[in-house]
Amino acid sequence: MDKKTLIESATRLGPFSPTTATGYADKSDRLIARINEALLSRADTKSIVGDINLAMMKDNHANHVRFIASILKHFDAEVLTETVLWVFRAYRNRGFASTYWAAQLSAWFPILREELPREIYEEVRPLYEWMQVNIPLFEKLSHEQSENGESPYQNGH
Amino acid sequence: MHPPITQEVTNEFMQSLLSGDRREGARIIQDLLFSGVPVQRAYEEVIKKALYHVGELWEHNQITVAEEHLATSVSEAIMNELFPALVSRARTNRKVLLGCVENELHQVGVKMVADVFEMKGWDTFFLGTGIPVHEMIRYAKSLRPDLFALSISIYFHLPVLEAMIGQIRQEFPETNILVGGQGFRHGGREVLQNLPGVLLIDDLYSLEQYIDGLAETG
Repeated sequence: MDKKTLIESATRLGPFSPTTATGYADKSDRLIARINEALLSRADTKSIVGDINLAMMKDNHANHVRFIASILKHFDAEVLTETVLWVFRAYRNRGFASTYWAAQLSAWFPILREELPREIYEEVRPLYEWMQVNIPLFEKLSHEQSENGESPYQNGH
Repeated sequence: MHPPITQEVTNEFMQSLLSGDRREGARIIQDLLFSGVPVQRAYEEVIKKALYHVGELWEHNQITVAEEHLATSVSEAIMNELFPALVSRARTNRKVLLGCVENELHQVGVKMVADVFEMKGWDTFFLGTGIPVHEMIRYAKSLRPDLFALSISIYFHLPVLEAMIGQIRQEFPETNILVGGQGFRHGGREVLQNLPGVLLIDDLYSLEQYIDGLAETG
């Protein structure tokens, strides 16, 4: 699968209802706290994010929640795909192991199920599943972009 | 038409930023302007390109956060040096209030926008980053600007931008709002389409056209 196909697969995830966008955004602080707690409680955290990267991991969790809140409000498959690829590339280059993404995304499911109303959880679950099942593809495509020197900065805005 | 600015010039400029060599960076820009390159082109094709490349280097872990910040601060210092030379003597008596979306950390782009307005004879009021929207509005009530210009560099600040526009609209229903920045690199433009009086500006050339259009229509 290439990036174009990945973006096409993402188009089927949205749009999302305003209730879901608001419900998720309203829980932002709680969601960030819970995901930090879940990842920091793991014995292998330092080995999957790198010894000096705990603060960066927490930044990523805060940015993740703000980004997903934006995507739920204004769904855009290309923004979603490009941003996830950027995140994979930037964090890998700073020492995050590919297993971190699996650990993080797996941890999200029980947190979202417990924190969000059932109907909101059911609406966001496919988005998280999409990110989870495509981890190998994000890894592959973000590697290829690095090797080809491809970067979103070169496209301007 | 001026000759294209070479990649070599942009690379030399970027190296001056990363080494913190403000004098060399300023010399490169001054030489370009002296040869007749318009400020907008120097900003777009040298400073903006160099800073985007600095971002790529950070992304690939080839420079540190400190070096990235150094590059930004040197760029701003060079732009500050240019300011007295670019301000137009012919003033329009129009005012633009500029700032970044709340929580943003990047202000170089909107600073460039402010300089283009000054070149066109506008009075600019640049609030930079970290300004709470209610404080911006409070200030705007005393200033009564003819235009707002807001910058967003990160997509996930889009809901904040929307809220900010909504709050400005409540107090200033007739005042146009320009919006721009890297936050729209991959999408989000359609969010602005249904907002009356809100215009997305892609680059400094489009901005110049917009300002010139205002001058023609009075």
